[in-house]
Amino acid sequence: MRHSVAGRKLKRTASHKRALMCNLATSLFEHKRLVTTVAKAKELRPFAEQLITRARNAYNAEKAGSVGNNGVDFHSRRMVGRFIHNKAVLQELFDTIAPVVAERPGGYTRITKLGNRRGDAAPEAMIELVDWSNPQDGRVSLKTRAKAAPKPKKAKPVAAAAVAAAAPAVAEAAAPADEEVVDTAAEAPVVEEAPAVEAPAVDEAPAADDAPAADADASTDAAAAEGTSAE
Amino acid sequence: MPNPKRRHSKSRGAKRRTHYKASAPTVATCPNCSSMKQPHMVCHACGYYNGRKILNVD
Repeated sequence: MRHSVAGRKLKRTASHKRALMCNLATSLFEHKRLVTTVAKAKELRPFAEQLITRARNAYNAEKAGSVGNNGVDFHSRRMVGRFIHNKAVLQELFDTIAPVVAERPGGYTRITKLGNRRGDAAPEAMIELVDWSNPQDGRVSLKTRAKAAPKPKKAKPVAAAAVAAAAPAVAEAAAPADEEVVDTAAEAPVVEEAPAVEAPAVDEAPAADDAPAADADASTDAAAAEGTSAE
Repeated sequence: MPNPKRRHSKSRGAKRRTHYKASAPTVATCPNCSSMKQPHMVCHACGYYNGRKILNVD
């Protein structure tokens, strides 16, 4: 009987499974988000989080100055390097991800079920790093979208700009300059700023509100330009 | 080789298969767009889950 045998077989041999986990974890650290089957995502979560914890502990120890070797924890890097064979990703994990999750007591990833895959109906899920999951890549938070309802497409770049502007304000969250690391605390500034930027644009081009949502982005810009020039 | 002794009537097979039934999937209401969605799953109509936009649905 296989009582108390943890983990999934995933129809693979042990070495194949290990290689799969290494590859998935490498992709997760590189792209911060990936779509796979629910079973693989659930299997990946503890595997990846243990590596992140190792990197986080190394970062905290390096920051506290309790490490020799010029303050670099080579041992942790090598131990994680047994699973992350891509040196660039290994560096990303220790230099970019670890500082962001330094204060997070585990639970670095989130799994969201997406439904069944077309073709083989396999249940799919998205696994992402929690600190990289907030609105970006054109995604808008619920509150921002509700306030900017007349022109939802237009709101995306505005919201992105607002997030970028708000980033210094939440710098105590230890955000690297090139990454938009905004936690729930950053929601408020985004929501507050978006309507402020949004309101004048709506007033200048009332006709643009009637434009179809599909091509609202392009046509709104054109309409706004015409409206301002006519006035 | 062993073989069936008697013919298996259509009625007999059909009676056995009366228990083959499709079950309706559980559905819930999306709190964002009020359309039907599967619970614990991203809404396929608006792409939201748990108050956050997950998918770009267009």
